[in-house]
Amino acid sequence: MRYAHLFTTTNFTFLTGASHPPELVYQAAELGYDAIAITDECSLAGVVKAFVAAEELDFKLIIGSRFKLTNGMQLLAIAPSRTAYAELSGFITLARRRAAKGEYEAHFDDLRFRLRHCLIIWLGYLERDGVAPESVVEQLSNAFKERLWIGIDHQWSGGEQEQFSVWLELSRKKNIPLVACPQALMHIRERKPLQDALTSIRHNIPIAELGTLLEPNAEAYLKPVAQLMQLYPDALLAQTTEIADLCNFSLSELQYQYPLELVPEGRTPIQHLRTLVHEGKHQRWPQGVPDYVEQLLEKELALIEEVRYEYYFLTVHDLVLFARAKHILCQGRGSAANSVVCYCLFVTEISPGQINVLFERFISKERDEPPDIDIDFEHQRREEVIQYIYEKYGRERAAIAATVITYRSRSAVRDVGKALGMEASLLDHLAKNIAWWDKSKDLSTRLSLAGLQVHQKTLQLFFKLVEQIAGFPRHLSQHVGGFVISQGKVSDLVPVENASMPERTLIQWDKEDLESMRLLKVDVLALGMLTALRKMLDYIQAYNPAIKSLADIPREDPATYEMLCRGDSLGVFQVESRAQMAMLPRLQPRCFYDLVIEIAIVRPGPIQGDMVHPYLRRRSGLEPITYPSDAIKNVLSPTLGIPIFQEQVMRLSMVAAGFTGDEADRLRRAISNWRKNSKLLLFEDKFKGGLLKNGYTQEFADRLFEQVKGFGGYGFPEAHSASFAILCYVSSWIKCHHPAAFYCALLNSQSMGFYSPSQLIQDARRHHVGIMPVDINKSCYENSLALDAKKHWGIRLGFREVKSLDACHAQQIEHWRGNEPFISLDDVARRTELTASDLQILASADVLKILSGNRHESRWRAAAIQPYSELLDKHNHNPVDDLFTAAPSQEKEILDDYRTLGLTLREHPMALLRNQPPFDKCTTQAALTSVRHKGFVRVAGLVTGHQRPGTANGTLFITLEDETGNINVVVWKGTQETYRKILLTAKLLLIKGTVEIATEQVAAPVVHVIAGQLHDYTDVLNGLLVKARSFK
Amino acid sequence: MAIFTSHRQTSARLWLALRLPDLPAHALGLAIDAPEPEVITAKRQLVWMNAAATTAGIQMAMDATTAQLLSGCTLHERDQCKEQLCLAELAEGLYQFSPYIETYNSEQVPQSGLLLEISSCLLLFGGTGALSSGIAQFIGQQNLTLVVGLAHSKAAAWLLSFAGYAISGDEEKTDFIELLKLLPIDLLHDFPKQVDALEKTGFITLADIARQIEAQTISSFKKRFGHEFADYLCELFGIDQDFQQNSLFETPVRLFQPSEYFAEQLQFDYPLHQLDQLQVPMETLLQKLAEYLRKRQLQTQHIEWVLSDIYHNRDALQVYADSPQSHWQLLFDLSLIQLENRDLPFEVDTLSLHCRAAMPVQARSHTLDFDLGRKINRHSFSITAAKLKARLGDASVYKLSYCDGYLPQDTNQRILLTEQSQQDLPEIHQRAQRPNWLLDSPSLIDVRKQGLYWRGRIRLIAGPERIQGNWWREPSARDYFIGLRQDQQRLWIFLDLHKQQWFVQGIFA
Repeated sequence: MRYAHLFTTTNFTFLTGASHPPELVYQAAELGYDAIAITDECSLAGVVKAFVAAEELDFKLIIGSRFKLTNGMQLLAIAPSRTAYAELSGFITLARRRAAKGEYEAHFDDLRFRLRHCLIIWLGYLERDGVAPESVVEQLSNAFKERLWIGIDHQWSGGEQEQFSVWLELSRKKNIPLVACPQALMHIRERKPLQDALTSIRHNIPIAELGTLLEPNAEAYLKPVAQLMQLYPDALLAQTTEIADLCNFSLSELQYQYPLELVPEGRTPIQHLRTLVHEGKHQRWPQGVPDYVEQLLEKELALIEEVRYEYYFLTVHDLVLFARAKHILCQGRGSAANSVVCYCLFVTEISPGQINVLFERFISKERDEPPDIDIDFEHQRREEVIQYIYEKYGRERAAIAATVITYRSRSAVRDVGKALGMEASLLDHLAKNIAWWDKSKDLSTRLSLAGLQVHQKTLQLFFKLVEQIAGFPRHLSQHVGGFVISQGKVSDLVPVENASMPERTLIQWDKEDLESMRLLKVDVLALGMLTALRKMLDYIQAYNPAIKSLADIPREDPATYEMLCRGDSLGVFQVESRAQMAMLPRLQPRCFYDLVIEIAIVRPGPIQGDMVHPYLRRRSGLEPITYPSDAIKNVLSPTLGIPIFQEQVMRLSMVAAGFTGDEADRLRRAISNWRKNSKLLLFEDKFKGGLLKNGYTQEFADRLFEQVKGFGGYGFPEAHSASFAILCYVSSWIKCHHPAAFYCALLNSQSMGFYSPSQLIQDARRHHVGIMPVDINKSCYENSLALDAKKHWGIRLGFREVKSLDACHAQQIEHWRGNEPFISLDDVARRTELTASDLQILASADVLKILSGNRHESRWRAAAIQPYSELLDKHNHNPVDDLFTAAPSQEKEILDDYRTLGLTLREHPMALLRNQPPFDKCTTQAALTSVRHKGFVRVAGLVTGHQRPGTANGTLFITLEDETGNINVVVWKGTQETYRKILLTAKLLLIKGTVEIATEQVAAPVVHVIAGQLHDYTDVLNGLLVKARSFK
Repeated sequence: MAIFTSHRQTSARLWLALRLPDLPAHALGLAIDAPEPEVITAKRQLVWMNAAATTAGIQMAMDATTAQLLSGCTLHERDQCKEQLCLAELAEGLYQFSPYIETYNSEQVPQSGLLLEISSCLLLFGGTGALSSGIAQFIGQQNLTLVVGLAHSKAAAWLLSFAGYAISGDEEKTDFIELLKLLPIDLLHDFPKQVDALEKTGFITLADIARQIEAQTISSFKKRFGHEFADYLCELFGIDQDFQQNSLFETPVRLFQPSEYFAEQLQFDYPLHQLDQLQVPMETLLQKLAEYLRKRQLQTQHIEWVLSDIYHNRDALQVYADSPQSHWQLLFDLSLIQLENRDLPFEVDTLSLHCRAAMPVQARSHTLDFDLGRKINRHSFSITAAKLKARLGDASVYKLSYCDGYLPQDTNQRILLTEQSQQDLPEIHQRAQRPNWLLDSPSLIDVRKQGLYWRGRIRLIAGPERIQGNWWREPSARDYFIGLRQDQQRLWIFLDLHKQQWFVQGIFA
């Protein structure tokens, strides 16, 4: 008996379906069904994932959706054709757009008029709200005629037999066929507990209290056909395949059409692109375009024309043009972005020859897949670009891609625990104590530590469900900036729904779906460093008009590289992490390409593939540079024979293992996802076989494949690295030559990067940049450049650094002050609209010092200020009543500085503690290099960062800050277990351990402290609020 | 400006603060010296802990979960109502020492206590020392830890209970103020915002505040921190706010009102040995009670009869009504029902009636009551129910309510007669046939010769409906059917798929 399953709810009907779309497709194929329809509720969010699975198995997938109409009717709409699909997608868009995020509102009339080609299966239920089934059928029959079926869902629930006779009667009377339409909420019945848990989360009621809100049984799964034959008459099953046979639509038919308006009338897209490129190339090479560039351009343009990607390049060019016109810094990124065409279009600053771009990486004739260009914009101004897109293409033609928010350990623990009725405080404790580095298997350990018996039945269920729910989608959110722009309505391709942000819409597919569907996506991304760079340039230009843009920054400046070689890169783009700082003195970058390597090498891929040390050894001449063949030499010579970039892996597979360009790209994708699936291993034989065939040894083939595997998901493309390297170089140069502008811009672009304002200021002071406190008469809202006492450029802190201060008021202070400084607190109250609370906050932050003395006095006076009234002005003067408390101690000043500003310009807290035990016996950061290698050492400092990279085999890195600098501490796994609680909570740590100092082959000593014992001295800090940042 | 040194004596009041740190435990009946760690929490924060918990490293104000994880201690929720009752009882007892008693309790502070104005009682009890030791002795008898503070005002006395000094009885107001000055300002628990602001302004101890007031005026505090706080400081430091007749503006001390209750007894000329003989005296006493209640606009739900004889034997009988009563008849009926099944324990010489828990009559409108008929019915039902309860016991009289449950037997819930029953049925009841009457627990069906028997042969007429789940408690899988018994009685039966046994779950009406 043939059968097609028509009613499937996947987990993209959030918190309802208990199986992933591919699981359902695989199971349907396994059970020998003819086809499966994915019919999520008013959604097509899961169809692409199902489509990919179905394509893999060459299995028929039907696209549909389920609706609960406002009149109570429930039905399935199935798309048999491309036209019907567009109708369905448009209908979902309509229903979703008129309701709040995550909800929909579908009316019968809309359905009647808009779904003119879809097949409708009415999921009849008993007479409700006084509406007789006959009248419902009458309406449906009139609207959909021969496109209508009555779906029979036999789930062994109450009253089905009685209902069936009603449907049978109606079917006969109205001549509407009945069809077997069992709902599947899961692919196998074993998912029932998970389905119940999802229901519980959806209703926010513990499972045990849900009663009949739960599915009564576990029958909503994909059943073998034989079992279905016992449940349904043959005629009803036969109807399923009749419907399936009517459905000839496949998602592969969706054709993307580019927006047309970018090409002037009367010209072809390629003509226009060629013109733009032609203009650009003469701007780039005013002295004459080199021949090799002309050749490259011709090759690229020919390919672009052949695969018809002109519009894509024109779209990107248009956005970049807009940004430049508005003085918004931007930069293209990705291999396509680093093509010569993009260089000529000013999408990228990477000129040909600077790096080795692999053309096949971004465009492949065989693959027919859109190229990948990410454009970074200043993060504070990206919204302007987004609004430009909406304005230019309209909301119907432009929408942001979705990001599927899925369950992770913490959210799974909270939601599943709540569903099982576990105590809220226990769950809170568990969720908080699942450190960001914990794996799910650590959960039982955490529970044991919490004193719970992990073998308890509830906990066993809890574990199982937490594990099952991990990765389940919870809701859709906006992608960081992936835009889909089309010629016609986007909603003809994919449903559009409201985002939580007002006036924002998103499509129901995520980045992976778009890639699978080969739809064009332009990534309009926000990059904090671009904002900072724009500000840096503005500040510098104020006193050095010669530096107007990034192009005015001298290239290959030795002093800049010298600074980087010392590992002095705090705040510098891409090389400010601790690992990068430790790598810089080892790698000793001396030119731009070294930076490209530096950025790419401190990545999990090269580290896990064991490429870092061989590269460093070769670079410092400790190991000979050899190549097994000239072909490989051509690929690996820029990186001394060690593959470091993704492109090199692709090239190797092509030149050494005989892969085609397309195969090489598929290999790259398999590498990227190899931890999620085992597709990479499918390439193993071909890869190694190719190498052997080309005369390489088995040992070499094995080693190379291991290195390829090492890239697993975290390898870095050279093109990306090069784009980042430009920003890295520019920010380094500014740090080196204009430190005040550098730190000031970073502070004004917060939050970004690895470091807090306090850490940035500490570093600025170590670089002799004078930092001046927030002052009611001198500060602006933002931090600003100001000449210090020695007439050097320093930084005057701005009102934005004052915590809890009303931002609107803070921005106005400068305006209210004008050119006339405030003379008293009363004067401030009279001339501004600052509230009593604002004034007290300013007083607490010591901003009013110049008007009213120390903090205590400022607070005392500010507390007496009454709201200003013009009428009562004469009577409104506050008699001065002096304060008789002592002036704040230095410790209290520091404490209050941290509380009110999050930083202090006074002594570092560690400097105050330095003379008292046990800190008097601790070595400072500055003195660490004088300790002998492997010597015992005690260090203490504020915990300013934790890091536990996935590549470090569980090792945790802590950064401690003392009055002389940052101390890098390594905590091995065993030590972490012993001191887990301290590691999670301590703000001031004293660490006893051994020091490791690398002095050979490095530009500057690299110092680490290996922690042996940890002692928490947070109490001593008396509540200093220094927030440590944690990074994965 | 006259403040501390040259102030006018505003009054000669003397307040004794009795702070009771263990009151939360006392109210809950916890032993202070229990070997296992025990803690009391309010809003998930620790407000009390025993010595064992302290040893385990638990600290006050710690989060309950942390405390539990740290020591495995037993958590108890603070019960402020019970604490209030304890304080009220203590106040009754302390009435013997002073007629001026006030309770101190604050939402900000876990500790509560009492404040006694003792200036007028000193002569009677032989001075401050003797009086305070008498009070301490009384409190000690209640197994409560006591910390005392003595001062010229309530606020000062309460604060000085934290000062840890021994009362000599010779202290003057200036001495109290000097002691107060040593205290940190964060003891001003009732003014957290002001304390925060003061701390940020450099105030550390009350001496800092005193110094500021001396140098300036109280008005500098008033304009910054509000009248309430300034008044509090005035009370604390006994500051004369420069009124001409200050005593006129002084808040009078409230007189403690000991609680009033009804207690009457009848002593018989000869011992009673039959229950019948009690009826008339009971009626008489209850009529007196009704008169008492009516005059005071009170009602009661609980009375106590006490029978005693000349040998001091005593037997008590508690009578409860479902609703508050101001008339005597129902209480009389209920008393008789209670007496029905018992014999007199001894020859009764005296019969007493006690009614301690009386409550004010709630204002009700009777004039526009159009729903009188229903109310009368309800009233008579409540009388019947009360009588039934008196006869059968509380547990035997209940009503049923629907409760949405996964398994059908969980859907019937016993509730008190006074509770509102749930009558909205879920959707499944609209689709499938469900019986009104469910058995307490499913009853096993005999399977004989491939037939089902439960008080007759059963034939299946509809089904199955599968209910499968309950995995979080005990997994169950059942196929439900409607069965027709020989006598045409329709039954709701199921086959337990795990046990392969048939059961009756309910009976259709």
